Amino acid sequence: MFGERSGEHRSLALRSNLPLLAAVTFFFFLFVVPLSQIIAGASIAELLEVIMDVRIQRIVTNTFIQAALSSIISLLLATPVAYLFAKYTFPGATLVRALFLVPFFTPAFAFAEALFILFDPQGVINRFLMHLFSLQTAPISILYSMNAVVLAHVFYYTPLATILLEGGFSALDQNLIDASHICGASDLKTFRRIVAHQLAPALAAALALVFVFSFLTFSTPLLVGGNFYTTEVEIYYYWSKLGGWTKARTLSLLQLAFNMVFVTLVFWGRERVFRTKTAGETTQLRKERFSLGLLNSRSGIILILSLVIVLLEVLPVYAIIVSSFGGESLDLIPRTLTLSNFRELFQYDFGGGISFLNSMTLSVLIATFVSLVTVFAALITAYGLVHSSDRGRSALGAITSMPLAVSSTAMALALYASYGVPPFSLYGRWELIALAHMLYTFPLTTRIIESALVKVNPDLVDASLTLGASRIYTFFAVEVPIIGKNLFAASLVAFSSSLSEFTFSYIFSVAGIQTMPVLVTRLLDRTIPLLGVASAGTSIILALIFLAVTASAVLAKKGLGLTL
Amino acid sequence: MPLTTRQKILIIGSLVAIAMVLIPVCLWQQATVKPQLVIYGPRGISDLGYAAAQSFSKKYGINATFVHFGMGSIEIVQKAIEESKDPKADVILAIPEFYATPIIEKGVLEKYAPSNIREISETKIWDRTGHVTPLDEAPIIIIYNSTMLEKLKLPAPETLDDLTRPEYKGLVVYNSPVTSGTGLSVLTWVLTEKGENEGFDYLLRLKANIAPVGYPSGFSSLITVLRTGRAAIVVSFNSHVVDPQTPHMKTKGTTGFMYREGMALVKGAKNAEAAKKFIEFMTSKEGQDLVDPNNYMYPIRDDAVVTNLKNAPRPLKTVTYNWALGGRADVWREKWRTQIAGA
Repeated sequence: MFGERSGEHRSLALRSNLPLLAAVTFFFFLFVVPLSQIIAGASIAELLEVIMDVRIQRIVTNTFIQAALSSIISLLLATPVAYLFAKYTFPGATLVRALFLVPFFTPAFAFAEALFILFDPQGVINRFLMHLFSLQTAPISILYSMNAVVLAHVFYYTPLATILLEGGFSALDQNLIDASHICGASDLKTFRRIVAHQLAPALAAALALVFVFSFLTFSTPLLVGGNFYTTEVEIYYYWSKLGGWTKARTLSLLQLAFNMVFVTLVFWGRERVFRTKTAGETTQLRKERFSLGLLNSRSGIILILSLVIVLLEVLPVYAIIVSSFGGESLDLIPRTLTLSNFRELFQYDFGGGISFLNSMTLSVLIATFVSLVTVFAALITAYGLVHSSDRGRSALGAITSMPLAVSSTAMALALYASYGVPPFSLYGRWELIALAHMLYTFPLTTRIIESALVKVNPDLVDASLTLGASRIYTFFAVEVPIIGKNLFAASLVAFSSSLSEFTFSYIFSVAGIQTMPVLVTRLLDRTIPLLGVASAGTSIILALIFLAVTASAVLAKKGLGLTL
Repeated sequence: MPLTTRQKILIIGSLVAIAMVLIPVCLWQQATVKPQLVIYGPRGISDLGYAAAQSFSKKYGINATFVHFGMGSIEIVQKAIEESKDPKADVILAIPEFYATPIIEKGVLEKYAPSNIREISETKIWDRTGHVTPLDEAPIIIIYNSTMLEKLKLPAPETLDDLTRPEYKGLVVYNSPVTSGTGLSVLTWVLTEKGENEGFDYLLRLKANIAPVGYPSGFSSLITVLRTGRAAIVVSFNSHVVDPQTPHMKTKGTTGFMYREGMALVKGAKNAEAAKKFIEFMTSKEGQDLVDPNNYMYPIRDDAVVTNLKNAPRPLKTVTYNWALGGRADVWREKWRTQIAGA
């Protein structure tokens, strides 16, 4: 049957459980073994205590409200930008898209700085409003509250939501939209009955990911939240409390359960509402060339809004670059330009024989290794997922997303207990950092590859098999070439995520093994921090990520292929 | 001649396989040899930890590794307590004085005093139980932004009580004791000077004067607050006065709290002899010379080098931790969190 995608109805030759078995084994050692350390260290009595604790109830509620607000606002802002990227072609679109995605990989301190630039009483927006309305005091006071945390998350996760939604917009069935208009339906009605319905899976996927990321937030509330506490901050408190580790582990599990209920609901909803169409079955959204004349059309407001959002998103990256060249962070136009911060960065002695150049080599090699292994594992996992039943697929989809929903500190300590000590003794070696990065990047790469594999027309596979090709040959000669761009995009997402990952790299760093984000943080953690030099380090990380994302966008042509 | 699909698969597969073999080979040299001494310490002293491990390894040919797990001084102590049945660390570096009691009472540390302890002034040896050897110290004082206070025509505060004066409303800042060792030191100063009950009453009164930024979570975020003028008065380490990024910070504080930290041998350490040697090394002039350049703290040896803090102001009178208060740091943090921060 053409267009069916569940295992039972796909090619008969795809029934083998071997890929699924391999995927389960990989996931077991990567995630289940460390998770068992957290479970073993938790307690039922503490769980009951945690659930009954009014203070924790309040913190979990606040975290939920914050995560819900962050995800809804991010999605609202991402929608017009995703539409812009999906619908219009314009010169430099690839570069703009890549630049827009870089903030997702930017360190938290840089975003905190960006919020200061914009919303401080002496910040750009307040100064502008005070000048405009002749005010004596700053009219906007948003920093050091839950609102500031939401705002920072909106900056962070709008790019992520955009790449997910762009995939959704690109896959809209143009024939249906045209038919709706021909039948006299208004734009609003067409949006409600056609566009919103078809966009629902991408919206749900974006909602799930942004929600989970926002729920697990840690650095952002500490930097800009003032007295606003999240569950992860509470978990951190118990790590530092005498005898508090059992409660920290218990709370981590509760947090995981909470997130998994949410993610499972989203995946379940996706399976109920949406049936993926295979390639060639529908027409995709018609592309148009962008011109200034469009700003006066019906889409004008959406386009102007999109451009404003893109400019605001790029601002934190701009601020870091200005600061690295010797400018003051509160100046939008730098007064001085110098390379001295970069010179100092490469000459700085970090001790233990480590220089920034060593660290750069180490980080790039680890990121390359991580991206190769993760994509290979994610390919096998995605293959297993795609060829399982609908119900099994939504459950497995949720399970493979679990690593994203666990407290990083809890997971890092669990990884250490599983693989850092004998018999593996990986602590102090690059392999432990690579393992942690694989755990972190595996869910996202699996989603990317799964979304591509699910669209491969099974008739092509059947044709190859009927003509006598082996199953493995068919897989490499038919399926892999079709999803090749997505594989490359997935590997670059894994590369960028590994390059910018901080928590695991920091926890597992020793004198000779330190990645670039760790060195940048050490420059900031000094009693007298070297801000400009740290910004230079961050600029280099962001430049590498920009190059990777640009290469990804060029090769994948249509965004990062993230359609769920 | 164009490549066949089979050839393309073989080429790409081979390239990936070569990369997956070559990268570990390239990284192999990065892997450290098996450590012969494991030093636990907080992330805040990474520079000192790495420098100390490096110098010690070079001098004695013992491969020492400094490990911080990205943790603060209290979490790293917790980790050592968690591992006490099967200790992974040999030495713990930078144990805060006010957190020494819980770890000693938990039986995690072995009594040990290096032979060169006599080279240190008697007044600087603060652990009378003989478990913790002093490492370094620095004063927590009251510091103000002279430009901001002059603009507001306000006098400079000198004592803790001055900070609660109504004219300083919205101007004072100190780190959160929940997430910051510096914040916990401030809390300890208040409680040492005023006693537990009166101390918390004082902190409640002080809350009315706290700047809108609240209680910064860490030292670097506190510096950002001071650098951007979001608070005019801070209770923190004297290093702010010599920090070129905060040129307007001055002090009139005649009193301060001396934050002191030490190092100790872990009970059941797998490399106990190397650990003892390391503690002795860090007590020697050579080890103490590493303290100020790498940690912005004062060495406990009078003959050790001080460069970074050479021009930093030192209070005329310092209060030290009152050991009679016992190991109640955790109780205080919990009380501060619920009663003062009121999260």
